[in-house]
Amino acid sequence: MKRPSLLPTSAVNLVPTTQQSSPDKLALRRFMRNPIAMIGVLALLITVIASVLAPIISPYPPTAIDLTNVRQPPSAEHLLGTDSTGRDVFSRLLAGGQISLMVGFLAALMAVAIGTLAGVAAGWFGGIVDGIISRIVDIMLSVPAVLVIIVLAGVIGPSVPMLIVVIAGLAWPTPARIARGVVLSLREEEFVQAARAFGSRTGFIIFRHLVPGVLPPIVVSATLLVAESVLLESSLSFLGAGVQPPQSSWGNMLNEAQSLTVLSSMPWLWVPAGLMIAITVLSAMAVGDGIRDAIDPRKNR
Amino acid sequence: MTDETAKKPLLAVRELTLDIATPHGTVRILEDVALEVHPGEIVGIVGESGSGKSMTALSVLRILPPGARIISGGIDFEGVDLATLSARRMRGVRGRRIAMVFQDHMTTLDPVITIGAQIEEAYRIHHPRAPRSEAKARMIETLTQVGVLDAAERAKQYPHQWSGGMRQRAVIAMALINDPDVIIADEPTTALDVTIQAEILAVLRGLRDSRDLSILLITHDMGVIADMADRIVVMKEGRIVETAEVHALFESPEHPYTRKLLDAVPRPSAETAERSQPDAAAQAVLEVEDLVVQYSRGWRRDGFRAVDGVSFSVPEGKVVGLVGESGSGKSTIGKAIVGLAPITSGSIRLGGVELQELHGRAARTARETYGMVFQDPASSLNPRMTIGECIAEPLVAHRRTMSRTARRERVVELLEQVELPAAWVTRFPHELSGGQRQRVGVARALALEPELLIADEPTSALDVSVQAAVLEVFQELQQRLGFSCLFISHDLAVVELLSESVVVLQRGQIVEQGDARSVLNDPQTEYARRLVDAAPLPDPARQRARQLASIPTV
Amino acid sequence: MLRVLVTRLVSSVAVFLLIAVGLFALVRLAPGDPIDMMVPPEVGGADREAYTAAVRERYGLDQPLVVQFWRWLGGLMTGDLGFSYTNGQPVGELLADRLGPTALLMGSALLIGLLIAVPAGVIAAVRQNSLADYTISSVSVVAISVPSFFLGMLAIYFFAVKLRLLPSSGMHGTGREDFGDLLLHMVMPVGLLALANAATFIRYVRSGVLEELGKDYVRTIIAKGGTPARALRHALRNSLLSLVTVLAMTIPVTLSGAVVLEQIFAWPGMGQLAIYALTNRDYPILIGFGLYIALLVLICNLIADLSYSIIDPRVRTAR
Repeated sequence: MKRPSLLPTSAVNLVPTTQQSSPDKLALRRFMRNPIAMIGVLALLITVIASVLAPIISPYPPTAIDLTNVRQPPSAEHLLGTDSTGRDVFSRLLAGGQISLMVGFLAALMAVAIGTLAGVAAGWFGGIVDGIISRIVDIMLSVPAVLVIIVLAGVIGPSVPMLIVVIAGLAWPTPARIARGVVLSLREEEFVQAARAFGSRTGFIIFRHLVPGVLPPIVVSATLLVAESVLLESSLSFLGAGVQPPQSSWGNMLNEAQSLTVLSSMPWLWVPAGLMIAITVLSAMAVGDGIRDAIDPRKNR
Repeated sequence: MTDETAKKPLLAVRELTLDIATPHGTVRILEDVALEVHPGEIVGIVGESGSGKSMTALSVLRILPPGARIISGGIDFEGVDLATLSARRMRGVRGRRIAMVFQDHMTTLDPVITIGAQIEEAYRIHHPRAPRSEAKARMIETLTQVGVLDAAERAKQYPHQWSGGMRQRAVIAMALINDPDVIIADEPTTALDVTIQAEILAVLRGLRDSRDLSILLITHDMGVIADMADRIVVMKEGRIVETAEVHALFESPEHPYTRKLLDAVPRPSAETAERSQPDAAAQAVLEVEDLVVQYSRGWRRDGFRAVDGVSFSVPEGKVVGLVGESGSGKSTIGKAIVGLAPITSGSIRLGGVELQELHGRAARTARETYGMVFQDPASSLNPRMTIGECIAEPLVAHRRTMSRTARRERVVELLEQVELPAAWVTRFPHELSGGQRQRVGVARALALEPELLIADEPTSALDVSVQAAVLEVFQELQQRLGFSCLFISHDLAVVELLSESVVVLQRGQIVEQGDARSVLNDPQTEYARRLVDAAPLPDPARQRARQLASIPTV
Repeated sequence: MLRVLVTRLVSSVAVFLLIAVGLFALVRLAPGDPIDMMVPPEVGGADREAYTAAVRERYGLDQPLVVQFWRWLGGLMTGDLGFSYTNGQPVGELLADRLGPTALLMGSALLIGLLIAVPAGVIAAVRQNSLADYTISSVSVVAISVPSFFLGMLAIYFFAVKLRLLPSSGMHGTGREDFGDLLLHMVMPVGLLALANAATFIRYVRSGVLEELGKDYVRTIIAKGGTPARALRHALRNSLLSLVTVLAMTIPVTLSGAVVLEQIFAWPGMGQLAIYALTNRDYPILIGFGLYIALLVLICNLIADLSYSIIDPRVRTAR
């Protein structure tokens, strides 16, 4: 039961004012002071850099088979051991990261682009446009993505581009709903009404008033979508509907470890990939939550 | 009442000091607050926002926000100190001996439970063994007492099915059902229209008389306090600055702050002016003719007519007041003029140009000739833009060739016009107070030197003293710059203060229009009369002569 | 309100038909001829062509597309989803056989998930920013972030391999049909799915209760002399109203989690059948799944709409 309105305005006004106190800069400062979010940023940065530099760092080509060196435990030559065809697990982990992160980021980017456009259109135009988009969003939000992609992968064949497009096609309703909500409330704000009343051009209103308002929550949604997409890609690759061997992805590395013998006696084959998914997703979630708290400090705190 | 003050008080707040812990450190909310409430007495607490008046009320029942802590002092009620009473015994006092009436919000009542059940709940909390039928009978009886007709049937409805005034009666019934000794009413009529406010105040007064109830009334409205209170406590920044009997306070306020507060309240004049027709010779800047604004409600149903055939004009250099209660269509008319509401039929001519015939660029150019001031200073400025950028917005839209430096100079000039420091161009809206933000709103509206200014309830979200300052700036500017103005307000006294003529609206239609003084002092139509009579005067002697005599029913 | 529901129903049927057409078109446009896979590789030459033609005729694939579509749609209306390309069984029966185990898995996980989420969400909201709140919120974030198949493998590693407490896969032990054995097999898959469900629901319950607790009616109840528990009861009732809608909409989504867990724990449900259809490119089964998903999503959406307008008096009493 928080009632900030009960605070005397005099107390609020006593907060020292600085010249550089735009709401977005204040939010950035709050974000930088959030230790969990900063750890998330750091972890995500390391993962991304390692994946980008994979071809340079990798001690072996990720698909190089060495049948004389099968299922070796971690050693000096093979940091994380080798798999059932003698491929270096560490190299495959880096290559897998490349694919997983690429799918995650591209799918999230596409979903946010589609979702923001749809949401802004729904919120700004209202009426029938809003009715149709909102209905689609409602229905899409309850679609079981994994099963849909299995069906599509079964019919048109699994591939990385298909994965990206379909994940984006299924994930856009979340940012759409957020963008719609923000635009709906912004549209009623008096400063937007004022801009219209003063005869400001529509383009000016959209870029000066709407975009800056929609952007922060959309950034939050984008970060969370990266987490969701990475998770979805790994689940699908694990099930065999995503990235296909011999190309490696974190998900399909776990697929190869489904036998009880691998599971019980060769943890180097599956634990690193599982941990990488968990760390990446957790980091992205921490960053997203951190941005959300920084934008709206009253919520959750 | 005076002889009763000698008796022992029913409720006494002793030197109460209260702190709230916030992320920015501890803030002192109340300091040494002391007041007494005697049986059958109405004590009013007035003050502006941040004065601590609501916190004082909430402290009595210990319904405090998290982080609040009573540092010292106490609350004596029948020999016990409520400040230190156990939580369990405190619950026995709340709603049973001391009940509370809050400001009406949509969510004051639980939205998914019937009104009747919620009132019964108040009874059953304190009479756990009473049968349901008894609670129900009490509920119906109490609802009837506060003037709700056919209570048994209407109690089966949900809060959203009742109007604001009726919900407030339900809240009062909820407070009354256990026959308490004291009712604490925290801004009980603030969200209501004046005519409804008059009814609710009559209900409270009637209950005090019939039940010898004590009422602690918290309000920011000097008219309400003049109407209701026997004794008045004036608060400022967490302290009591003055306590006095109502007539004494209004006639000879002791403390400078009280004087300032009373001076800030706009008063309607007492004398009746001659009925004069508006000067027909003056050129009209704005002419509205047979304006109809209809909002569609789905494909099949008939639209809702917010404005239904309204005609009036604003002469050059004059201020015309547009008054009415919520739902009268006064704001919609303002919106229709600036293009924020659809014009279904009729005409709006601005400087002789028919607005409806303009499209595209011409329509935008026409908007140079008017400016608009909005109601809510918290939302009318984009929080992400600096004050300078906000004021410059109309310039950016219409003076595209204007150089950056020229624009900056104009912004500084405008800031100085509304008496704000020029250095504030780089500040953000959240660093300004409500009154300061509203001045920025006025500056923005004047950026293009408009012929017509439309002001939609520009001061209704402000404290009286702040309102007075903003109105003063506004009046001074209007006289100096000579723009015409359509001033939309629900506050008759403010309108009378500013405008030469007035248009009274009810349900989208004009009820009465003419010279401001004569319409507001001697209304000719029944509705206008009711509206004028309902607005409480900040003058106890005059106000009490016009009180409603009995509890009105709904 | 009735009109709204009828409109929704009609539009749902339309959407379903649209999806059906889309699926049909997708399969026909897909690269590769499924018939090829149905002809044994050892059949060659002219025999192969004859064999292919026979198969085509048997499945009605020799007819023009429009005829094929109408036949297929007609079959659909009577519940006939065609036959599996790979094992010849009717798709409808295949799906129905797998429905039971999946429903058991999802139903019990949903129930347990709710039984965890409601109290945990309420505690997190009431004790906002306390240790309990941080613990509950952190656990739910971790449960959402760590992929369920990784958690499943960890669970098998510890509970089945190391501790030998639980069976690692299947629904029944060999030669056993008793309920106790079924329960043992259910512990890990149901537990993990319940955890995933709970993690999602906790966030809804927590934010819902927090929002309601901040509303004015809670203060009104305290001012009436009500206990904090009574106020919480009102707030909970209000926030659960919207949870029912969320729940109805979430049921199809939890199917995703079930598919993954079925694969790890060799649970003989729809997920396994889906993976089978995927690896064997069995189009009729895949189309069957597509239609099943569409039906489930649309029905759950209708239920969400309906429950919302029945439970919430603000909608119910609106004209």
